[in-house]
This record gives sequence, C-alpha cells and structure tokens, in this order.
Amino acid sequence: MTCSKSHEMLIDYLYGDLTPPQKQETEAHVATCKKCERELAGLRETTAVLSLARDEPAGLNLTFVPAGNPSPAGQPRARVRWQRFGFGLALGLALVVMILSLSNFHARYVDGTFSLQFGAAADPAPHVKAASRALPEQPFASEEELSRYKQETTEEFERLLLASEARQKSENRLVLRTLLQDLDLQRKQDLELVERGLESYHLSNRVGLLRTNKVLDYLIQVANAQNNQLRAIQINGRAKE
Amino acid sequence: MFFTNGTSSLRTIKLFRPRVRLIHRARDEKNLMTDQDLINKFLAGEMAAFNTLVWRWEQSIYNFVLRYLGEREAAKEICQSTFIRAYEKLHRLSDQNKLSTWLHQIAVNLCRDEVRRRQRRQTVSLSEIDHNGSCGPAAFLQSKSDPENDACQENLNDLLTAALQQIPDDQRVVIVLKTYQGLKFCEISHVLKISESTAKSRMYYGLAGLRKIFKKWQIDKESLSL
Repeated sequence: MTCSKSHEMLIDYLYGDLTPPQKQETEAHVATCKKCERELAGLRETTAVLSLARDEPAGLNLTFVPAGNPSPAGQPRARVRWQRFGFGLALGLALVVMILSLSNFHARYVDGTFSLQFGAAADPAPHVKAASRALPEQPFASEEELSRYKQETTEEFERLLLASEARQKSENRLVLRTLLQDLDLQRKQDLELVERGLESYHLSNRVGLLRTNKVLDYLIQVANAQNNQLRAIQINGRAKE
Repeated sequence: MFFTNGTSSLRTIKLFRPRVRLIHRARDEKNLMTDQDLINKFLAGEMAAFNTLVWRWEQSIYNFVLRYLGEREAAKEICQSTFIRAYEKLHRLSDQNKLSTWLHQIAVNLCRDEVRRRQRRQTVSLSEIDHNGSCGPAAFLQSKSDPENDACQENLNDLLTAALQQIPDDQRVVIVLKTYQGLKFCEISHVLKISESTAKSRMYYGLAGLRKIFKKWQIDKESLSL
C-alpha cells in the first residue's frame, strides 16, 4: 500500500470497515510509515473530540392532526385542496344565485335569442310579455270583444306571474337549504373537535389526579412511619429515665 | 391537515399541556413498532402512526440540521419542513426500510436550499464568528471553570458546532452524517448522490481540516472533557 492511496484505507480502518487482510495490510503499513501513523493518530483524536458532543432535545412537539374529515393516505394535501375548492365553488354559486334573485334579474330565451336584464332596467315580467298573445291585426269589432280580450290577457298575466313567483320561491328555498346543510356540517365538525379536546383534557386530568393520589398515599405512609419511629424513641427514652 | 409545533406558521398551533401528556402516553404504546409497520399504518390512513415516526426521528434530524447549519432556529424550521415534506411524499417511498436515509436526504436538500438563500442574503453565520466569541473555546473554558454552570455541555456542543462551520459544506455534511447520525458510507453516498470513495475522501479532508482548527483553538479531548 502506498501513502497516496492510504486516505480511504485509514478512514475505513478508523471505522472498522476493512476486511481482515486489508486490516492487516493497513496495520503493517502504519507500523512502518511515520506519516500515516501520525495521520491515524490525528484522525482518532479529532473523532474523539467530536464524539464529546451530545444530542440536544429538539423540543419541537411536532404533531400532525387531521382537520375536519381525516384525509386518507395518498395525496392528502391535494384532496384537502380539492375539498376546499369544491366548497368555495358551491358557496360562490349560491351567493351568485342569491344576488341575482335579489337584483330583479331576468333571463329570456325567445326564438333563438338569449337576453339578460338586471335591476330597474329589467322588464317587470318579460316572460309574461313573451308568452302573451300578440295584438290582433284587425281592430276590435266591439267594446265587448275588447273587454273580453283584456280580461283574458289579465288572467293569463296573473297565471304567469303566480308561476314565476312559485318558481322563484322554489329556487330560493333550494339555496337556503344548501346553505343550512353546509352550516350544519360545519357545526357538527366544530362540535366533534370540541368534544375530542374535552375528552383529552378529561383523560389527562384523570391521570394527573391518580398520580397525585399515589404521591399523597406515599407521603402519608412516610409520615406514619416517622410518627411510629418518634413514638418508639420517646418510649425508649422514658424507659431509660 | 395542519401541523403543530409551537412556532408561527399558517398551518401550526401550539398544543396545550394536557394534550401533550396524552400524546406522550400514546407514544409508549407504539414505540415497539418498526418504521415499516408505522409507514404501512399511516398509508392505511392512521395519522397517529406518522406522529410516532415524527417523534422517533425529530431529535435525530434536528441535531443533524443544527450541526449542518449551526443555528437552532433555522434547524427547527428545516426539521419542521422535513417532516411536512415527508408527510406529503411518504407514499412515494419505494424502500420502506430506508426511511432514515430518505429523511436525511430530504433534510440535506432543504439545508442546501437554506445555504443558497443565505449566500444570496449574505447573512452572518457561526462560521464567521470569531473563535473567541460567545461560541468559541474561551467561552467554553470559562463556563467549564464555573462549577455552578449547567450550560457547560451546551457550550461544548456550540463550540464543536462552530468548529464544524469552519470546514466546507460538502466535508461537514459527510462528517455529521457519519459521526453523529451513524450512517454507513454506502448510505451517505446514497443521501448525497456521490460515490463511496468521494464520501471517504471528504471525510478524510474534513477531519484533517477540523484537526487544524482544534490545534489553532488549542483544544483537545483532555481540555474538553467534562
């Protein structure tokens, strides 16, 4: 073995990673080479100094806790992200529907054209208007015919208005039900978390109390033993007197 | 999922005391299980198994990072990030018997990122502190002479950590992995993605560098023994 190749060998020798023949070869070389002998002694001294250091307690108390519904292993973060995204999307849609229902919004699809109207600009009952009968091209022959036509139109308007209101109410009910279900789910999850916390607190307190009880029992035993000893000493003293 | 450790982070909270006691009791029950069993349990959906792995390895990883970077706060942050990354990627671990190597690999990568960030910011680290400063041999010998000083071991740790900061990063990481983490050279070569021969060479030159530093600081095993 040459000194130039001995670095790795010395490290292996230091950590006992050599085969018996290699070990013998290294020992033979070190015995004859003052330089390598010094190197090995230096390496030993340095590792000995390094080994004086001790591990410090990390004191981190790292704990992973599942939030809400525990995610199964696999892609936990991605799952949570999708859940959040879905909840946000549902909430956003619900809000949009609510705002639209409150802002006098009207969507109309007549003869292949689709139109939207908001606020005061919206027609009070465009679907009613769209569905209403067109005025006859010929003027009415008599007052009676005109009044009958007015009566029929008014009835048709009222019917359509009632249908529109019913539809609107149904949509609002659906939105509110969804929101209530979300709130209920959230409330249940919160209650579960609180319950879990209280249970942990209760269990740990119980353990602490049991420990304290044991310590107190031990102290009482010690006190009793000391009392007995004291009494015996007093009796002996009196007997001697 | 959120993560608890007591430091400020969006996903962190500090545990209250009774919960910590309960967790300590739960630890004892799982201490006998192997890493592989715990990994399988976690992959089956049991979060407590991952927490047991964290408690089992956090001290080792923390001390490794501390000796690599030389700063306690940074070590805590990196240690926390290591376990967050492990949580996210554990299902990709191909050989479950090599958890230790894998965790060290994550920690090494995070430490290298941190070192690059520091180089950009040009912050003052322990390696730039004068050896007569608060972490130097003078401070240690002073604390050692004081019989009522309980911080002696801590000062010794700081002194040796400061000495490690004096040698190049690639040599330091090999020394820490071998001397303190007890990894074999084949594992070190796997963690650092270098050949075993290179790892041994860095070990040799790192130890030689440390020897010079100890000589310069006039410290040896006798003078440091508590």
